[in-house]
Formats: sequence, structure tokens, C-alpha cells
Amino acid sequence: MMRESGFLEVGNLKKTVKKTSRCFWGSWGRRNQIIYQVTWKHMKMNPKRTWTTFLGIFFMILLMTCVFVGRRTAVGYLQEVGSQRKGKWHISMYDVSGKELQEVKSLAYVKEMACSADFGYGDFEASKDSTQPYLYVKAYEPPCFDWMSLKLKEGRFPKNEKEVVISQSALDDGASIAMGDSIKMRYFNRSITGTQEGVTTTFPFQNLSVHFGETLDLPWSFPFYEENESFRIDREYTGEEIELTVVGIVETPWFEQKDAAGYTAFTRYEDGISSTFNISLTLDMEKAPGNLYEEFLKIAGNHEMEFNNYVLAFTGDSSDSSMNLIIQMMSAFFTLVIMAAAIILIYNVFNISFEERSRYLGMLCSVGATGKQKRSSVYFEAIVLFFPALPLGFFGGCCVVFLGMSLFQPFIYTIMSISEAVLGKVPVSIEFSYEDIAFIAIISALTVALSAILPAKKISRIGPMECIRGNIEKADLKKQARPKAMQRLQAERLLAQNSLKYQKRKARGMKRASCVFMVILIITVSGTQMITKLVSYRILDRGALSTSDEDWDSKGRVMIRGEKNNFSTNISIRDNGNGIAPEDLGHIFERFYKGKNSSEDSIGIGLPLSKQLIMLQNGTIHAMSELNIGTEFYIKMYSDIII
Amino acid sequence: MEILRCENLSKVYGEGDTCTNALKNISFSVEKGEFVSIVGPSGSGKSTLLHILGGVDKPTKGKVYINGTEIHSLKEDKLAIFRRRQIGLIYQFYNLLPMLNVDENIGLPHLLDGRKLDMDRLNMIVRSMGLEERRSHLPSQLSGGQQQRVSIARALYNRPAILLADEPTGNLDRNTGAEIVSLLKESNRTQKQTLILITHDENIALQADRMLCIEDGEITRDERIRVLGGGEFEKNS
Repeated sequence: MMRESGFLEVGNLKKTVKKTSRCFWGSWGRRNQIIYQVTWKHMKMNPKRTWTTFLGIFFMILLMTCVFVGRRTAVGYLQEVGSQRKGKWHISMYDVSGKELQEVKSLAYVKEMACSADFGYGDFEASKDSTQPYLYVKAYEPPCFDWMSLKLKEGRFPKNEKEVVISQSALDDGASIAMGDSIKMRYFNRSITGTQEGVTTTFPFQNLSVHFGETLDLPWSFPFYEENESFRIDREYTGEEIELTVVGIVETPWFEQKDAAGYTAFTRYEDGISSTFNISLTLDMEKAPGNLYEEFLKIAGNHEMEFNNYVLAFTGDSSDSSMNLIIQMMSAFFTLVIMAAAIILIYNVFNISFEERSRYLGMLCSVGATGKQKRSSVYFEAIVLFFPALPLGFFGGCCVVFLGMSLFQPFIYTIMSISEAVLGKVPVSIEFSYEDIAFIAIISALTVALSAILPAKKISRIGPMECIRGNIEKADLKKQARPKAMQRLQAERLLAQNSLKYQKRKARGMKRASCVFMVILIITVSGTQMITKLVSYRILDRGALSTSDEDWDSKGRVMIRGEKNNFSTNISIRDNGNGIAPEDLGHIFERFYKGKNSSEDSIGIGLPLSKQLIMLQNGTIHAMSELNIGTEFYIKMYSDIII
Repeated sequence: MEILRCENLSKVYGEGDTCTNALKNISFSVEKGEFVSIVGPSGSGKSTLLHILGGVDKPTKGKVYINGTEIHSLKEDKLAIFRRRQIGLIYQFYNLLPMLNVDENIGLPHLLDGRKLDMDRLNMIVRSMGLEERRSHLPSQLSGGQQQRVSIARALYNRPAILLADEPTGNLDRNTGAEIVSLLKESNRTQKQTLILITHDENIALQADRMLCIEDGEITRDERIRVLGGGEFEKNS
């Protein structure tokens, strides 16, 4: 009996606990349910105000998205544009052997590594273009295909050294080749030998001169020239004849030279295929040490090595920390400005509706709503508006970023000094990570919460009496008319003053909200102006820039003209200044040379440096001048070249 | 059985020069099931007294006991909960939520408590108030008398310990007013509902068991009109 009753008691207790807990949660939800219902209906009855609040939250999320998604998209885009120059790899070492490979492999901060090799030329009988009778075959390990931005047009990438993919440019030129065809070839390198005594043949576009009796290896981009009496082109075979099967066609690679002697083709690099090869790698930037460059230089030793600075500059490389710092500071600054603006805006919208909201909350209060329930009304409204605003604002922000990036695209090319030759090659794609979305959601939620807390607290203080007497506004007005004042002033005037005060209170919220938008607008406009200024500062150091003959007569004008053809980009820069004396003209590219007409602050380093830079990039520069008329510089940059 | 007692209630509005003594040391008690009417000229403090009794306003001094609980010593939220469970308030201007229909308005205090509506009770009350045809209407679609009936139904739904009505007929024509009073009297008679009613109308005041007259914040008369449960006149003071 005892046992039974004990059991029963325990059973009952369990039951009670269960029941209580269910009741607690259940009644808590239900207790606020009517508040939510009333709030929802109130929101529907005041669509204007509801929409204003919604738009406030929406724009806040939109702006937040612009900051975070915009940052990632811009950096990603800059990287992408940067990779157009040389590919997506970070560091490359050329003609290395197994020893270097092992050393690189042992580095913890190397994210991915791939080997490649240039196999050389092979006869391409299917070619219809007599100036491009070869295929130039490169062997890649799989990551290289992506790093070099190769895109398959059809078929697949090669799986072994017997398979090959061919550039679309061959097909465009009418080559009779298709997938599944086989090509027999023997790889060779080309060299040039001067054959006429006393004659030096110069190839200006390739920056190459060959003297009599001299033999030079030809670079892969060297065009096909018919031999003549002054030079001879030889082949040096590097292996036996092999048969390659075409397994795919790739879109013309960005690095393919239009005037090279061969179309580009790619096969698969396999271990041990070649005793020397190239290594390309990407780094894990978070782990990369500060002395990265020294470490790699040590490994590379005498071998040629290249840092892809166009990509490294935007990947958070430690050597370019100032840029990362600027990006981070800017996003923090904008986040704070947006948060502050949004809080003021949303707070004010909640506050403007104070009176009407107090009316129904006061009524609820008079039938026994608690402070918590009144507060939950404001929170409910904030949450109900926040959840649809989140995806919409995010989507809107992405659209704005996309539009902005599309508009800003030309500036990016200018900032990065990339010619229009590759412009348009990189479509803008929105980039974001899950962390970004989470961060935007959290920050926005925090902003909305902060904006709602004060009005909620204020509202929870409204007692039923204010509602019953209908003097909510008066209860909030600190200064009331006093009899003494009443005696001094006339009652009508006091009434007018009170009503004005009330109107002012209503208007204040609107004023604050519009101020916030003004501030955002000013910041945005001045920010854009700053960027534009920075960009134009790069182009135009001093003097006025002109692209037409208009106003040419006034002194101090500079005219820049440009044209582009298949082989080169030609730029002329002309001024109407004092000109250069004929005796000086031959020396202007010499270091520290100062001519008669040169300005006092000139130290004679600008032009020599310009020439060196231009020559480093396969270009030429020369000048023509006439005293008191002006000077004109001609710059010629060959093929895929930079301004 | 005593259901309401107030001791030395005072209420002062404003400070210094503008100081107004709305209530001065008021003490009285009400028995369960009693119907008390409060009369007095405008500004005499009767509405203030009712609001303090109903827990929506705070006295400057004094105590109010309802069912043995000193309501003004409760914390604000506790008081709100106490009010919705124990006190039914009827206002001159109904105080109905414009976005809720008749049924929802009636069940509001109950819903605020997080409880499910008792449909039998709701049906019964709606029927007794003659609102069957109007259950899904919004307050704006109802006449003044109908709105006041909804507000009475809301006050009665939770079976409050005490029902406080502040000039419930003040905004209505004579016939509708009489109808409302008879509904209130009905609940007082059949449910033994304690009722305190403020009115300007002497006819209505005289229908109560007891009449309090307030002038200038003080009770000037406390008259028993009929004995509880009986029908005879009795002078008390």
C-alpha cells in the first residue's frame, strides 16, 4: 500500500511538473498572442507608418549589404581583374627541379601547388593560316587550367600527356581540326642565327636583335618569319614523335599572342615527364609569414621566380597590409555610420507613432496589459518587419553592389593601369560568404533591437490613466501652462504655444530622419568625389587635360590621344608649352640631363624613368619638339599592353 | 462579507500653487454583492476615486483593499494582472480596441492572461447582452449602446470581484442608458456581482442599494437605500 502511494505521488509530481512547464510556455506564448494580434492589426490600419518603418529597416540592411558584400565583391573583382594579367597563381618558379619542388612542398602555408612545363612547338598541319603553322604545347597539372582562367568550349581537359586541348583561335582561323582527331608531332624549340656578315637584324616588336653568327633561342611568342639571307631559323627537337588526341577545345586563352607563330594547346603534366619544370602555387595568406619573399627567394636560388603582384595585392598579403587596413577601417567606419543613421531613423519612426500607439496600448493597459506585454508589442513590430526586410534588403544590396561595380568598372581598370584590351573580359559577379550573411543579419538585428528598446521602454511607462483621460501628449510634455504665466500671457497665446510645441514634437522626428538621410547622402557623394579625384590625380598631375583641339590656343594645355590596332596601342601626349631645343632633344631620356628650357625643379629623372618603364613592358617612346610651339611624345605599346 | 475597503484615501494633483486636493481622507467599505452608486457634481473627485479603487490611478495617501489585497502596494505588473482578473472597469467612452471584433474585445482581459476563451461563458454573456448578431463586428460598426454593452460584457467575462462603472450612461440617450443600467442591475441581482457606479442621473443612483455623495473630495452622504437582499429603505448616516 505504502509502495503504491509512493509511486502514485511520484507519478503525480512528474505529471504536475510537466503540466506546469507546458503551461508556462504555452501561456507565455498565448499571453502575448493577443498583443501580437492587436499590433498586427494596428500595423495594417496604419500602412503609411508601417511602410516607413519597413523601408527604414530595409535600407539599413541594404546599406550593410553594400558594405560587406560590396567589399568582398570589389576585392574579388580586383583579384579577378588582376588575374587577367597573369593568372590566379600567387608565385611561380621557372625551370626548377625536384629539389625545389620538395622544399616548396614542405612549406605549411602553401595552399595549392601545381607543376607545368612548356613542351615547345610542333607542326600543325591542319592550320589554315600560313603565319601560324605550329601548335605551341604547354603541359599543365589540373589546378593550372583554373589558375590560367582556361574555359572549355567543348570536350574535357586532358587526362594524360597523349591528350590535348586546342585554342578556339585555331578553329576561328579555319583550321580543320575537331574533337577526337589525332595530331602527330615532334616537339621542338626554335632558334635564330644571323647569316649575313655585317648585318644585324632587328625585330622591334619583340625587342630582339641578332648579329651575324649569333644564335638566339626564340621566345614562344615570336612570330613566324620567312627566312631570308640575313637570318635563319632552326629547330631543335626535344623528343621522339608522339601522337596526340584532341579531347577538347578551350576558349582562346587571354595570354595567347595573336601574332605568335603557333596556336596554343595544352596537355596534361605528369610527374617525371620533364626534368625541369615550372611550379606555380597559391598561398594561404592567413598563415603566410612576413618574410615570405625572402623565404621564396632562398628556395628559388638562381632560378627565375615571379610574384603575381596583381593578385597578391588584394589577397591580404602581409607585404601590402596598408591596403587591407584601409579596407577594414573603411568598412568599420561605414558600418558604424549606417548603424547610427539607422538607429536614429528607426527610433524616430517608432517615436513618431508614439501617440497613436499609446492610444491602443493605453486601452490594453486599462484592461490589464502588463509593461512587458506593452513592450512586446514594439518588439513584435520590429521583428515582423525585420524578417521580410532581411532577405529583401540583402537582395537589394546585392543589386546595388552589382550596379555600382558595373558603373565603377572603367575606374578599376584605370586605377589598376590595365588597358581597354581586357576590359569587359571580367564580368562583375557578386561574392559573399555565409559569414557575411550571418554578420549582416546579426548587425542589422542589433541595430533594430537598439532602435526599438527606447521607444518600447517609453511606451511601457504609459499608464492607463493617460489613455482614459486622453492626455498622452500632455503627460509627456514637461512644461505645463502655469497660472502665473497665464496671468502674464493671454490664454489664447498659451494655447497656441502648447499646440505649437506639440506640432514641433511631431516634426522633430521627421526632421531627424531627414537629417540622417542628408548625412548619408553627403558622405556618399563626398566619398565618390574623393575616389574620382584620386583617379584623376593619377592621370593629371598638373595642367589641364584635354582630348580635343578646343581651347588649344590658351597656354598650358595637354592633349592626349590614343589608338589601338592588332599589334599595338599608340598614345600621343602633346602640349603647347615652350618646346625643347633641338640640341637637347637627343638627350632628354638620359638620366639627370637638364635642358635649357627645363623648369627649375626638374632633376632630369622623369623621362628616363618613363622610358625604362615603357621599355620594360615591350614599348617604345620618342619625342618631337619645336621651340615655342610645343612637344609631342609618342608611346607605342605592343600587343596586350598597358597604358 | 467585505469585498472592498478603502482607508484614508487622498489624492493631490499638481504642486505648490496649482495643488488640487481631489480626494480628502476618504474611507468606506463595500460588502460582497452590494450595488453602490456614487453621485456628485463635476470635479468633485468621484472619477478619481473610482480610478483609484480600480487600480488604474495611484492615491497620494491611503490604502485600498480588494478581497483582502492591498492593491497599491503591488508592483505595476502584478497590479495589472490583479486588475484584469479581479476588477471589471466600464468607462464612459467604452475603451474598446478598434481593431478587434466584439468577441475578441470581450475576451481581451482573459486573452491577456494567456488563457483560452471559454466559449460557453462567452456565448452566455453575448446572449445576455443581446449581441448575438454583432459578434464579428468591429466597434466602429456598432452603436454607442452596443459598444457600451460590449464593454460591460468585457468587464463581466472574467467574473471580477468587483465591477466599477464610470458614468456608463453618460454618453447615451435616456432609453439606451436605462437599458444599460438594467443589464448591470441584472448581473448584480443574479450573479451577486458587486457593483460601484458613478452617475449624474438621480434615477439611476436611486436604483442602487446604497448611495454615496461626494462633494469637493469628501463623502458628504452615505445613504443605504435598501437592505442587501431585501427591499426596504434604511437611513445609514
